[in-house]
Amino acid sequence: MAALRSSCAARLFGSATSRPAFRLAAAAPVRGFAQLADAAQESQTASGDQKARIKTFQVYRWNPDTPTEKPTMQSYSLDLNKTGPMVLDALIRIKNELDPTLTFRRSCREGICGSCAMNINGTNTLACLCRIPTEVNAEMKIYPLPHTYVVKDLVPDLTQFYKQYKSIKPYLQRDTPSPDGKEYRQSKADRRKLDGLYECILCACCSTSCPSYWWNSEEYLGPAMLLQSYRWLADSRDERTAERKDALNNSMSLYRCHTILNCTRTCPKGLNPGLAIAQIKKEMAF
Amino acid sequence: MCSQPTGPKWSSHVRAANESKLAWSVPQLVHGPFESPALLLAGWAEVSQPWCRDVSDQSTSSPTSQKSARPPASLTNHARPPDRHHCNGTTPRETMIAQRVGTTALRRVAAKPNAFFTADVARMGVLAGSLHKATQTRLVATQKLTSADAHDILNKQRLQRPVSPHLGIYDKQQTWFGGSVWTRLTGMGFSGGLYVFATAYLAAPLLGWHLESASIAAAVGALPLAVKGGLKFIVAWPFVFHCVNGVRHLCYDMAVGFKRKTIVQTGWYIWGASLVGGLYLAFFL
Repeated sequence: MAALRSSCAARLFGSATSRPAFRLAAAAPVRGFAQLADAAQESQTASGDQKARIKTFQVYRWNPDTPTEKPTMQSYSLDLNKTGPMVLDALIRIKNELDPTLTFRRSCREGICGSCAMNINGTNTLACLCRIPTEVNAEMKIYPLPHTYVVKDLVPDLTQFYKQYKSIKPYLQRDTPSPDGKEYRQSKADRRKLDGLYECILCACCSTSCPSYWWNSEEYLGPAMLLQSYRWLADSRDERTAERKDALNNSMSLYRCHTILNCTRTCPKGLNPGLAIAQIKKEMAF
Repeated sequence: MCSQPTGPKWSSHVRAANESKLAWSVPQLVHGPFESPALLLAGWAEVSQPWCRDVSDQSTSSPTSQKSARPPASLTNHARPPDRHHCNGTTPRETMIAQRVGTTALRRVAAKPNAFFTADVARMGVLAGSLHKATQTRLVATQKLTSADAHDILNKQRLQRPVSPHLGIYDKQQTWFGGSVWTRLTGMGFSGGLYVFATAYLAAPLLGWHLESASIAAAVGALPLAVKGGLKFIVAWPFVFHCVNGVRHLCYDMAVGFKRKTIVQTGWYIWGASLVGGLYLAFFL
């Protein structure tokens, strides 16, 4: 939360920051107000016991306004003592205090919206749920989701992903009205079948971790969509199970899954797309 | 850094600012918001971050920290480009001062008529000035796009987008040492080898080669143990790996063994088991 606090402080003293005379007086009492003078003073007096823990973040950069320039890695250094615990805190702090041009998506900062999905240190995860490793020697590498078209910096183009979601008809399909004319009821056991499926937030971490999806994203649905497909196949209230299965019954949509299982290993919500796909395959086979 | 507008030149200055902003407002409108509702929300929220603060932990690590601090979040922030190199922008406060100077000058002229300004002209001037004051001055020019135009611009930009890195950056243990891909590679190796050997075996009588089991066995038997074992291991390891991981994939087909911990563990087990099994087949059989 230091990142948030420091940005508030910066806003309050926004006009004073340009004048060095004001800087010392205004900044000294506000912790997290990251400045050279501040840092120097802090290390001498107030918190001399707290040594600065500078960690370097390497972030993928690409600007659509200069499309001929190749994507580059830019490194930023932050003092972890003044940064929140999560990678998203670091990114927000970089954006607020070091480089306002850094672009990424974020919204809820608690793993509910799925906006801040990115590749952090080699695996896809949500920046808001990923802790910054405390050892300062290792650099952190942050890329956009793998094998996606980059809109800018860490922002991937998920158009295809959302189109695929639309294609699986992610809604209840029924013809018969409910017996009491009110709700479509299901037993507790049937409801329990949806646990581990309905929690998916469509962050695209699993799909973009799948090499099979990297090479065949045009036709292969990918783990996220197949988990969603299974969520509707497993729903006792849905009456189009046969049609849903029929739509998957071709060589590409489902069977490009080769149980590589990067999806299950990467899911930031702890769900199991690999298992869901296996269940679909099993249901299709028997 | 920015030239301060002083005196009654305000109108031309503001117009210049408007024109210069028009140029960048188009690309800014284009990338991002058309992608998806999620991007629309998140991306816009991102763009509306307050600007450069001139603060950093390390002076060397901040390429942009040399820029002067901007006034805090003004009304125009939402449409400012990420690149802050231009400095034509005037803040509302500056414009207000400029406006006031303009009107005061006109009023002064109106109070004291002279040869150059008749009262009517001055009144008109005041009228124009107050009209302008009543109307809000917008420092940001936006351009309405038809959906077809927007689509064109989006398509142009899509052609230029790079593909983000994948195999090169993803966790090596999961991509390069994944069981699935090695099962495929070993399987391809064996089926390819079968085709090559079978074709050679067919062609052998014509070419005078000796590929019968007896002659191959005799040829290999004459080699030193290390070479013999090495050659056998090159064949034996892929064979064992393919078998062991094949069983693992059969389990996957039965929807067994999908716990995250199990996946990681069995991923290591198959490498261990195939190495041990391959060495056994190579040197003890």
